Amino acid sequence: MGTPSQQVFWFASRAFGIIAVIMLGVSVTVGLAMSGKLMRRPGLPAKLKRFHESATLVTLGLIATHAGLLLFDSYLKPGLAGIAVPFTLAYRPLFTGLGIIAGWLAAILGLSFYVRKRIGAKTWRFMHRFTIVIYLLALIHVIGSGTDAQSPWMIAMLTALTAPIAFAFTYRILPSTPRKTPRLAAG
Amino acid sequence: MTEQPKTNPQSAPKRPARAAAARRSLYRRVLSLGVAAIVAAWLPFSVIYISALNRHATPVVAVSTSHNGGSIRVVTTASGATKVVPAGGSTASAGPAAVTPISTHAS
Repeated sequence: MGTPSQQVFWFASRAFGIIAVIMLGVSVTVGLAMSGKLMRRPGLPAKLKRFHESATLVTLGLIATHAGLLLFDSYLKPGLAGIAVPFTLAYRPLFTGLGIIAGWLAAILGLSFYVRKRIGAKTWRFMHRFTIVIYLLALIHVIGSGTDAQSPWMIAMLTALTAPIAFAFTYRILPSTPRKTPRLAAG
Repeated sequence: MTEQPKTNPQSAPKRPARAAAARRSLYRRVLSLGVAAIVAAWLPFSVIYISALNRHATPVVAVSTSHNGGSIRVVTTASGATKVVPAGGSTASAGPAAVTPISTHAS
């Protein structure tokens, strides 16, 4: 343990992790709202798409900063492997490992948009469906290894982030039109 | 009668210009969102840092001893600094009962 000034990178990493999970939640919510056609006002889907793309890129930057700042932490000393290879960090290896997997998945699925033509729109759309897994892994990572996970403000924040995602996801997977039920034969 | 060109000659140079404009717009959005995120990160950072500072200032060990008829108290704070204060000093109230556990790195 050191003085607070010696732990400045640890604190900064935590702060960036908090903002990263907020941005991830917002990006996933907007993505689900778009694909589920929750908002149909003219011109809005294009605006949401632009925001979704920017928010995703910023989220990737925040995740990289969250992990990168740990490299300078004199107490944890994770090394490059500790922040890049899942389950190798000594500090809460399971939950930090899940966070690392979420980070890599976010990078792969987020940046796959730019190779969409090469991999095919169908493959890209199929891959993109797994974005929700990234959020779930990030959520487990925050709850399991987050130092502030027990704080009421963190619980309130995670609830506020997860509730719209749960709603948009349910709305997205439910059939858009009610299925026709076979008419019962009379008599 | 002149034959109409199949494609608008203006559309070809317009396309890269539109792509460049879209890219510039994306950079602008990402940059502004990134700056907003960094500014936003300042809030949790300050909360974490200030709460760590407050915890850090708490005396963790206090030992009293008699000295030439008087009484002094040796107080070691979480930073490792040792202070020698008269028993009636401001930190005198921090007896063993006030000892707080040394917070780990994760806290």
